[in-house]
Amino acid sequence: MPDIASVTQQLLDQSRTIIAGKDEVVRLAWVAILCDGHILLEDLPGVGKTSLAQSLARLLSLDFQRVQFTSDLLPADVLGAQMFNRELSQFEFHAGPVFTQLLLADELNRATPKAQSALLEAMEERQVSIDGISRPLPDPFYVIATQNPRSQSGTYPLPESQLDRFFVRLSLGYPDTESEKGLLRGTLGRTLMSELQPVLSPESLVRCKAEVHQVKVSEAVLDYVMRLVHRTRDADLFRLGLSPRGALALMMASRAMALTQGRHYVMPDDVQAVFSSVTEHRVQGQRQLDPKVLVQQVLDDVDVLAA
Amino acid sequence: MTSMIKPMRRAMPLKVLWALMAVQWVLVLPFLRYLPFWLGLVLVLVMAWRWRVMHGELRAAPFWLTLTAIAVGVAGLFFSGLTRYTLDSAVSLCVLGYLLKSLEVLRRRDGVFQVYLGYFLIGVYLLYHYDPLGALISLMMVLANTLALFAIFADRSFDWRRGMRQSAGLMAAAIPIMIVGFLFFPRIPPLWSIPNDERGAQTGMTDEVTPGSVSSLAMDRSPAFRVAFEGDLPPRHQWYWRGSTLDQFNGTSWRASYRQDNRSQWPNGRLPEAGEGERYHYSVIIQASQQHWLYFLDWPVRIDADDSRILPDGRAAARNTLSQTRRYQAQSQSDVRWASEPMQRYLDLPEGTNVRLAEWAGQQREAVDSDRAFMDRLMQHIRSEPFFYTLRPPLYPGNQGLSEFWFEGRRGFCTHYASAMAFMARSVGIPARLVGGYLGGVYNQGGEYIQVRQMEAHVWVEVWLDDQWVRYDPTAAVAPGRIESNLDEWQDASNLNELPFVTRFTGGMPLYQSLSLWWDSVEYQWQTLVLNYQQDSALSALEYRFGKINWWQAGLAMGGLMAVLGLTMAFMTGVLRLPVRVKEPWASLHHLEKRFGKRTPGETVSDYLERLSKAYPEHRDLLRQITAIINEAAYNPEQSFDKAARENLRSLVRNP
Repeated sequence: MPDIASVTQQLLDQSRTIIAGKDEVVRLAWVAILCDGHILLEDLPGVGKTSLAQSLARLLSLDFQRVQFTSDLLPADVLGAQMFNRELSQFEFHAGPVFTQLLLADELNRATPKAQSALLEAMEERQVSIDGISRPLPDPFYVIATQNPRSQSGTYPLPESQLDRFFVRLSLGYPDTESEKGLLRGTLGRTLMSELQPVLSPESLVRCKAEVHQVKVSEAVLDYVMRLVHRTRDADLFRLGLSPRGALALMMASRAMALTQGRHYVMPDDVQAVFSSVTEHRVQGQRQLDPKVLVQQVLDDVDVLAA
Repeated sequence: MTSMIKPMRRAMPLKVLWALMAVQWVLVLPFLRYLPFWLGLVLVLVMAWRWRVMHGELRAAPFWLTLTAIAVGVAGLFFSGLTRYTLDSAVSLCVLGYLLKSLEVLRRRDGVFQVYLGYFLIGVYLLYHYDPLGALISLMMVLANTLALFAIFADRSFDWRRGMRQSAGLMAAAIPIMIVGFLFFPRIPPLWSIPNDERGAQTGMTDEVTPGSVSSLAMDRSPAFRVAFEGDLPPRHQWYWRGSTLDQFNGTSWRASYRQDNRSQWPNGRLPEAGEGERYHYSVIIQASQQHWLYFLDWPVRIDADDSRILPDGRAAARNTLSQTRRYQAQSQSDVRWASEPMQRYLDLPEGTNVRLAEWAGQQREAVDSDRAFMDRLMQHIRSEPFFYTLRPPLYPGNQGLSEFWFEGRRGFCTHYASAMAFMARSVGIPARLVGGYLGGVYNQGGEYIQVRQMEAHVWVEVWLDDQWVRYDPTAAVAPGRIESNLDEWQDASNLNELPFVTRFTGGMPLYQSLSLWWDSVEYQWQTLVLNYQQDSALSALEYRFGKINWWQAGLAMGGLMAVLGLTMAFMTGVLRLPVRVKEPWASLHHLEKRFGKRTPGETVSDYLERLSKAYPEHRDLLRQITAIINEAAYNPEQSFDKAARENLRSLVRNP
């Protein structure tokens, strides 16, 4: 049985050489992976989205593929297609980049809805159907999709129902001064990617994932989670509240978070740590209110200990 | 940073504001006739302002404007003569506040406040109006106000028709509670009586009459009291309702020895002992008169009324002002034995007044051989000479006024005739006094009672003959119809030009009369069944069970009842909760909070204690230890939080 807390520590230590000062984001990504969840990275270009995905793949020794989504990308470019082999006189399947363990879907919102939904379907079903034949995707299968903020031109925003398929939405933001200085100095950054050592084998990862379900949740924490969830359904604040699927994700993420802290029971602190990432992209505020602000408000207002 | 707007602070939609405004009209309109007229103007002004605010044409009233409006309003009340703390001024202030409040009603909170104030106003309205009509009006007001309450909470989904239905439904649901409250809720006199009303002039008999100075009598049709007889009615010509006795004469006015203003000096007396003749049992419901006199049929032998006292001149008076409708039982007989008393005060006459009348009376006395014959002769004189009964007599001023009336004017009403006759009796040495009260009344067939109205007020003479007080009513001699029929009929028959305008107008309308009789019987039933409910049955039933109830017992019972009801409701709705003994580890946390300041709602135990350890670095290790224990105890289902651990935590927490 791998000690998840120490794995987490190693993971954080190593990733720090690539993207410094973003421990919390890396930890949340790790939590999502423990929960078999896909990650949506929403950020400005050039703050290290790709580096994060690549380093995660290396550290967890996962196959890595990358697809740059563009407006002329076709579903077949992602999933693969039947090609006619002239020599053998038969169709054979050319697997697309989706057949990998960790897929980085760069700038997902650049692509047309058709291409987007091809990927999102694969994420949900964990299999691909081409010309009537279902082909399972590798296990584990993770998608890390990056997305530019919606305000940028030439984008097709993902519909709410599809946003819900991402377990968490993370954003890196600008690095702090020290990290950026290190980056400029060359003491950290993507150039060091090759020096990363895997912290976990795929088999251990499976065991770690199983561990998540063993984490205990006390009645007090459940009540707290329910209070949070109910508050997101307050019609005066939210047009769209947290769905039961979202609530389930929140609970799972809290469990995984507890594990990364070396605990086998969930504390409200865990719930709070994952709440924003799990919730923000699944709810919609009333009257154009920013979900980020509202979710933070919910965290501040809902009493941790009692109703 | 947006903040969550608490429900009570949210602005209300336009249609709810409309409803609130309409309800405000409904609630204020019934008050207008009791209050200074300019409050109606304020109503219109405020509503116009509010209408424009609602439609975005004006800003909501700024604070200085509200302040100014309050100042102007209070000043207005002051100049309207409501300077003292009376019912009128208190109500005016209340209505003014209610009106001005609407300048700022935009949020739900203000709306609820308006509604609560509205309920209070409805209660106040009942102080003015506690007859069936008032009850009906206040019911309407409650309906409207409850509608407003529904409107506030229905918010955007408010709908007039549904709101009305809900409001009516709620009132229907309240009927059982109302009935139980009505039947069993003790009414404690000091709390449940209507505050002394300085507004109305006193009605009924006054303590002093000056016959020469009144040139017309208003015909006031409002009821003075109602009498229900057990058994047969006395004959109509005996319907003399005795009230006050006027025995002091100063040349122009008759005045009572026992007056409202010398209540503290009233001696105790006894009613005349039972005499002969048929005995009448009856109960009287007397209207609020702001006086003390209780009325009887002549002659009273017994009275059963709380807090009354008997005066030596054969009367009863209430100890407290009659500020609300009361009921009492009494018995009368046609002949009674009077206790003898010093007669000198019934003979006193001032020197040099009405000299001609006294001379004339002396001559008349010489011509007959007994006092009784003298009195009969006077009555005969009135009958045979051209005397007229009128409600608009000429003025007979000064201390020779009675002579003037007797010899020249010869026109007057009961007071003139009675005064003259009593004066003449005294001048020849016969003890005499005036008795004020009412004569006649209207028998209400449906309600089986006699209604006596203010306009039936009457004055007659009593003289002491053969150790008896004997009643002489000179009015009977000049206008026999006044005695035998009720006043309405009598007026129809008499010269209309002699009567005031109002009577002339209404007197000839049978429909009006029968309607007003019907309405009066409704009011009578209301008073017997509703207003006087407790004095009759409930209290006596309670007293039968629990013994005599005094006010503090009743207060205790009522307070207890209200407390039980209130607490039950508070617990049921979750407003109140039984204090739960806080268990560890929360007790320790509370202890820390008490000592180092509160945790914010969103702060977890770890965050909170981390914050503390930043503020108190010297305790960091200890706080970390405590954090670990509390978290373990609270959230780890597998960890048993045993006694030793509890003790440990407690000692750690109590240590710093």
